[in-house]
Amino acid sequence: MMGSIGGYAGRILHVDLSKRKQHVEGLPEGEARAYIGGSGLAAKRLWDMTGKETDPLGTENVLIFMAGALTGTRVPLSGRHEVVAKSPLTGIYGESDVGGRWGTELKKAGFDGVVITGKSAKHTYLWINESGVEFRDAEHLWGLDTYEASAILRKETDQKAIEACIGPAGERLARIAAIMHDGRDARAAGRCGLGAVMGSKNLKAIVAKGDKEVSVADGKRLSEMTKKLAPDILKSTKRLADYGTSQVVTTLEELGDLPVRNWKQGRWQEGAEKLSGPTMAKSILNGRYFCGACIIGCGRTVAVGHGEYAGVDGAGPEYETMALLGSNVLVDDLEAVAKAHELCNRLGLDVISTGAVIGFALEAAERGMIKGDLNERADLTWGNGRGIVNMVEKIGRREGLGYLLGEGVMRVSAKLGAGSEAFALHVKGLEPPGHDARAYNSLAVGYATGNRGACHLQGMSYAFERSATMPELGINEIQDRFGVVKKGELVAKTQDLMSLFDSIKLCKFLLFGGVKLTSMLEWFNAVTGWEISQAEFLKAGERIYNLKRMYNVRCGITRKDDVVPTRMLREKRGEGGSAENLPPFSEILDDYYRYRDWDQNGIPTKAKLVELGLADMTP
Amino acid sequence: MPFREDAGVTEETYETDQESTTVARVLDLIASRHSSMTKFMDSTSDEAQRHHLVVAVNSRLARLSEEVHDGDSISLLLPVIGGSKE
Repeated sequence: MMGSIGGYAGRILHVDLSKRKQHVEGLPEGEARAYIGGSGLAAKRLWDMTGKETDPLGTENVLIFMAGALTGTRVPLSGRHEVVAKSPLTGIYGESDVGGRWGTELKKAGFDGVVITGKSAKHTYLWINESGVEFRDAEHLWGLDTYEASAILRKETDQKAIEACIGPAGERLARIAAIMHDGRDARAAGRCGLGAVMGSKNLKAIVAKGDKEVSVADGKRLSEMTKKLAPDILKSTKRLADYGTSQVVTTLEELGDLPVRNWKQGRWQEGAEKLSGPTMAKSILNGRYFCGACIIGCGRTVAVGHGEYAGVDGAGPEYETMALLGSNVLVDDLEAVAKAHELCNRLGLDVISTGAVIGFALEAAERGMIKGDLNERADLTWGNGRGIVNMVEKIGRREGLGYLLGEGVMRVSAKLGAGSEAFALHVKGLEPPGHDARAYNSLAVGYATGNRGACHLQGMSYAFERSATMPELGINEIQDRFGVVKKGELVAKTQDLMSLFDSIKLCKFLLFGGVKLTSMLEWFNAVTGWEISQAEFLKAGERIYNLKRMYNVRCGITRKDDVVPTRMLREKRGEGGSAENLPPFSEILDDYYRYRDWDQNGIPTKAKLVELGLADMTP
Repeated sequence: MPFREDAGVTEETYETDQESTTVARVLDLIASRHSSMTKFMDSTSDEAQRHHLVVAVNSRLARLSEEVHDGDSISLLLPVIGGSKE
């Protein structure tokens, strides 16, 4: 067991909702060292506890919340945790990385993670504190939105408690439902439909609060490092602090990265400017939000005082909202986008998948593929802010056409048929975020091989095609975004690196603060007291990525599934910064498999599995 | 647009006495014309520069050493952090 290792609580809470029982599992030190924490430890448990036959919305799926060794410490930007389950949206490995303060409270209550099994006979919430867990009735909360539920939950437990909570979308099993955290501050475990997994278990919320100190092996070393790095982090991320993630809307529009009109259109200059961070700062912005241990504060809080959307009050739109519920549907009304964002937060929807499925529906409606209610069809027009807001509400409440759209792009396209797959953008069922594979060649293979589907955060290779380097990985200079050579290798290396971010639990924005692998590892060693070498650390990242791949291989995933949405592969944007580029996908994918030591069918070789200590993991 | 308020202009033309110059040299020219832009300039390396602003020549991201020719269009872009709250 963990003994005197810093950072970890050394305890994982298991909750069986069917039997209303709990037990605490000691975390073995060897397992923590091999899988690090957060995403890695959760993935290992998902591998052990579920498989190909597991119905993602069945009693047998497990829902895992896992913090990292750094969560709850003073390491900057470490207030994060991971949520993992078999995804009802994709049917494969599902996970979402979340900021906020919930993970910190869980650690302070004395747990590294919570593993939830079974299904409650009645609507329930869990109250986790230093004494363990209480099962509490949630009948009075069922049907409430996450902001309403949060206020009641804090009154019933502790005003300083933090909750992970689903809204009506998760309760009604929308496959694009999120698990929201931190009430009105609204930090989302948005991707992969994990809110529906929680809903399928009749679990409304998990409230956490603790007062224990998270132990740190070498506080002096940690403090010295942080003092050394913090000024550069702050300097390099000043605009992120000033304008939030949507500071880049105009830049990405210029580069040909921003999705416009369901990824069909090349440019949208005036609209992008209306949705940019500086525009928000001059209009509806009323504050900043800092996740646990954050020193940047990129989160936005907004208020709309008058007009059609008066009453919006709380977490404001991020870049992804601007992209998917703004430019992707041609809505340039910032207040409408803020309203749509708030509805996603309240109803518990992933902003990316929600905007993506609406963009898809708009194009389908334009092509005459969507029949039915005239009012709904009127809502489905490009640039119709009110219509988009109405549709978000219908998806979240699963009403009318919203019921179908809540199933996600892949299933809606399958239902519509008629060639709609040509403009149905998803990989393995997960809709891409607001970044275009035509703007960065590496992103095509990143999307194709992302263990949860089309995801920019599992690799973030595109950051190294724009502004970042990582000499420890041999990435000594910024890569040409339209280049081909060694791009597969770049994707694999950065995926392994991001596995480490997701497992020790650090915000990836540290990359833009100039933080390198060496510093990450030094923080980790200072907190844990281990002296892990860079080679061992990187090997752990590779192990975690391959473990998730093996989970997917066991679910039937092979090269045939490692694809890029047709539109990104075959249709040029035609104008703007990526006008003529189409990613040379197969060439980069071959390089990727070769570098990874996966066979031509995309399956890790036996030798690779042995090397990583995963020899017993056969499909 | 980014840097518009710092420089007080949306676009402008630069002339040099050579047929071609470099991105780094253009940034120097911009800084000398607009002192408010100096704080965004760091030509010690491409990465250092891209922490503050990113340069695109004819919409392609450009390194400091890249040549700029007569008629090229240069954009100053924000360092790119396409964020997500997941």
